[in-house]
Parts: sequence; C-alpha cells; structure tokens
Amino acid sequence: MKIAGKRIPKGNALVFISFAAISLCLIMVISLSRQEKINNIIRKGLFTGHEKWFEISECEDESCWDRILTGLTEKHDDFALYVDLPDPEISVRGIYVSGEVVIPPMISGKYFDETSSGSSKPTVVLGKEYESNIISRDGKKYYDYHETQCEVIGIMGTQKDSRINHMIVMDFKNALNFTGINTDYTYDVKDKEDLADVGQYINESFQGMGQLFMSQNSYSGATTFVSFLFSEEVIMDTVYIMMLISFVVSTVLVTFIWLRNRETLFKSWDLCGFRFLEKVNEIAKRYYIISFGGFIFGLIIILCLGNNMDAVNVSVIDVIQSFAFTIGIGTTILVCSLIRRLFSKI
Amino acid sequence: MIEMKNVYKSFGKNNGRVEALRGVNLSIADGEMVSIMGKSGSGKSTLLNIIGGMMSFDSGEYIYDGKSIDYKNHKKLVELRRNDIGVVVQYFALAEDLNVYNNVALPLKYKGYSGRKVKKLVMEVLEELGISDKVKAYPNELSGGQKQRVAIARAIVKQPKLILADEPTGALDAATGEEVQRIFKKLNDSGKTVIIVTHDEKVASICDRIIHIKDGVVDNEV
Repeated sequence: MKIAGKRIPKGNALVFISFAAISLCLIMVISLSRQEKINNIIRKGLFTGHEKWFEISECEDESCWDRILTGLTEKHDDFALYVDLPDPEISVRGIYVSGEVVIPPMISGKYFDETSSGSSKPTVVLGKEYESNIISRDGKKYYDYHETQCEVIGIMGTQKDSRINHMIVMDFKNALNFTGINTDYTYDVKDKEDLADVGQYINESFQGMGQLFMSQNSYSGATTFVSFLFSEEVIMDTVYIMMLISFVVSTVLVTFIWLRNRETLFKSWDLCGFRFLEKVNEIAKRYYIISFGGFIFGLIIILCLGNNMDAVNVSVIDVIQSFAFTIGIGTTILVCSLIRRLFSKI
Repeated sequence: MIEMKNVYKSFGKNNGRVEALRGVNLSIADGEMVSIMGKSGSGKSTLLNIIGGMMSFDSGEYIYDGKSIDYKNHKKLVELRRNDIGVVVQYFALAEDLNVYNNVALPLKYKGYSGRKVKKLVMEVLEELGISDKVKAYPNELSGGQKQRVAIARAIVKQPKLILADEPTGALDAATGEEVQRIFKKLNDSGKTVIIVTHDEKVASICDRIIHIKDGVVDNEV
C-alpha cells in the first residue's frame, strides 16, 4: 500500500486501525463507568449506602461534639457525620469527615477533609447552581448563607442537571450553629462492618447528656463471602476490570504483531550498527506516530458520538486513562522488547 | 587483520547445550578474500557472526586490527559493526518500507554527514553496482539479484575495511549468483578484506583461501 508515493507497511495500517478501535471502545467504557459511579453517588444522596440516622434531644452541652468526634476519629477511620439544615429552599448539609468518604464530582477547588470539615472557620462547598452568588474578597471566595460569610473551598456538580448542583455542604461546626445540637444526624461509614461500632460509640458518648434515638440498623446481618462475591458492586467492578484487561491485552498483541512485522527492519539496523538510542528513535518515529494517530482518530469519533449521545460524556481524565492503557502499555512493551534485544544475540 | 585464538561458543544450557565452536584458531590477513565452508550446523555462520561483532563468545581471544575485542562489551561490538564492518546476509534484510536510496543510506543516517555527502556516497555505490536507476524502487519491486546488490551497496556505503557475507548467493539463481561473485571479487581487488560463508564451491573457488569448518573447529585450509 502506498500513500503519497511512500510505502506503508501492513503492520502500520494494523496498528492504526487497532489503536483507533481500542481507543474508541476504551474511552467509551471508562467514560460510562465514571458516569455510572457519579450517578451512584447522586442516587445515594452523597452517602456510601452504609449510613444510619439518629436524633439527639434534651442535650445542653453544645460543645460535646468536639470531644466525641476527637475520640471517634481516634478509634475509627473512614466515616462522615452529616447534619441536615432545615432550609425550605436549599438542600444544605453539614459534614464532618474522617478518612475516606464519598467525594462528589468536583468542578473546581476541593471537597471537605478532616481539617476543613472540623475547623471553626465557616466554609462551604457549593453546588454549581450557586456559583453566581459567590462574592470575591481579598483573593478569596465567599458565599453569604443567612448572613454568615462562608469561605467557598470548592464547587461541585455534574454537567447534566442533578441534585448535587443544587446542594450546599458546609463544615460541621458552622452547620450546628444553625441547627443547634438537638437535631437529626446521619453517620456514614466506608466499611459496612464499622456501622455498628461507630453507632455504639456515639450512643455511649451521649449517655447521661441527653436522649439519643438511633434508627434500626438495616445492615445488621453479617456479610457472607458468597453474598459479597455476588453483590452488584463486585460484579460491576469485575466486569470493568475484565474489560480493561481485554483492552490492555489487545494493545499488547497489536504491538507484538507490529514488532514481529518489523523484524527485517530491526535486523537491518543491527547490521548497520545502530546504537540503542538510535533504535529507540527509529521505533518511536514509526510506532508512536501511527499509534498516536490511531488514538486521536478514535478520540475524534467518540467526541462526535458524545455530541449526539447523552450517555457518552467524555472528560479529560477518561482520555488520559485510555491513553495510559493503550499507548502507555505499548510503550512499556516496546522498551522491554528493545532492552531484551539489546542484551540478546542476533 | 583478524586473528582468533581458541574461540569457544555454545548455545543453550544443561542437556540442551550445543557447542557451536570448540576452539577455533584462524588468521586472516588484510586484503585477503576467504571463504568459510562446512556442512549445516558446523558453526560457520556462528563464526561469521562473531567476526562481525554480532555475537559474543564464551572464551578465547578475537584480535581485530591488532586490538583484542572485548566480546562482553555490547557497545564496543556495535561500534565495530558500525564503523569497520559491512555485512551481507542471504535473505538481504532490506527494510521493506524504505526505498533503495534510503536502504543504502541507512548506515550513514547517524554518522553526522551532510545530506549532500550522504547522497554522493549512496549514488556512488549504486552506480558502482549498476542499480542507480532503481533509487526510488522499493525492495518488493526488485529481483533477487537487484536486492542483493542493494544489500551489498548498504554494506559498502560506509566504506568498511572488512566485508562479511553469509551465503550471499544462497537465494539467487546461478547467473545472478555469478554476478554477485564478480562484485565481491571486484571489492576485494579494490583492497577490501572479504569473508564469505558459503556452501557453493563456485563462490569458494574465486577466493584466495578456503577454510573448512567441521564440528566447530577448523578442519583444514586450502
């Protein structure tokens, strides 16, 4: 096959087409998977799915949470404590974070961590619908919530309209200033097994300070290995990993076929006494131009599809991940192959 | 120019170990044309690969141009092949996606020569070998004889002192084979040292000396 008078080896056409097809499918899978994770977060209302509601009443010690949360953080990792503000217009939630919790899709800035959620300075993460209400002062951004100036540390939201876009999350202490200590709370844990322990600690901590009513634990039954294995989450994760592996294997195979097709070329370099870096340069010129071209071609097609399909919503991170899984893996194989050739004999 | 003292080379390990060379001793003088003959598996191609710096060896000594070659140093072997030795193989080893000009220019690519100098050197050898009209042709558009001429042109374009050929007429018909023999003779007449590994008695007959290899050792010299 000749293009513009230059002979194009069949292996190059194979690499181009394969990389275009692999990139197209991979970007779509990664994008859909990310989208599904976001939908899951939205569906569960920013909870992990392992959360429990409780109510405190008749408590007079307004500062007792400082003490309790310090002890709870020392004993347990990866939990969050939420308090909902009784606002009829906006969904506002106070948060205290310890370790790893659900992080909503962020447009800018960052979400709450242990330091920011436990600080005494009023801070908020705004849904993108409230971004227009931000006031800038001294290089910082503020949101005025019922006459309290809260520093905006991040903007969360999704491209399509969702409840996250209309939510405000604020630091725990600031939220308690609006609700008072006697209100409803929800605690959320990363590991289902911690649900009972965290609940028990909170329960015991409030003994003698007021009334605490905790909802029945719907997750009290122990998880068996079989039920864990066949849970929707595990099945979906397994399918996703298997798909990634199949794409990686395809990339590996295509790269190997390409290398096999260029054996004569490699031998001619050896006969001419090409040095290692010269071989790398020659391969890079041939392999990367074609594989990168294929990747870009696949990306263009997926972007065109995304324009016409609501389900396909490609982000930069999807493209970077796909690039790493295709050309990144190809690079590793090439380098390994070159190093092997360097130390082998003709 | 070339001296080999007690050179051993084996492949494989344990029970699968094959001794290709078992103490080869030989010397080849500057400007000589030598053929290495022997049955398949006798070790003649292994010997040629070692002379060409394309293969290391287990023990012994290889002296090239008065200097002992450090056979464990791959970089040094590459430099030897890059500067001093031109190699021609039976199935040509031409890059299929490069035309004749670019195939022949390949050894000069990283030499730092100007484009004009590369063109001059390439065109000179192509004319010398009578294939200057095939500059733009690709290997799949050439006959076997033409491909071998391109391979020879590629081997000599960097003006090496030593030319090694492994069965250069093995893939060619008799008439084309004779043409290739004449080319090697001409190269030798111009002062190059030529070593040819061959099964072909006719090819061997044009050489100054024939070295017979049997079971990995030099059996006799004619």
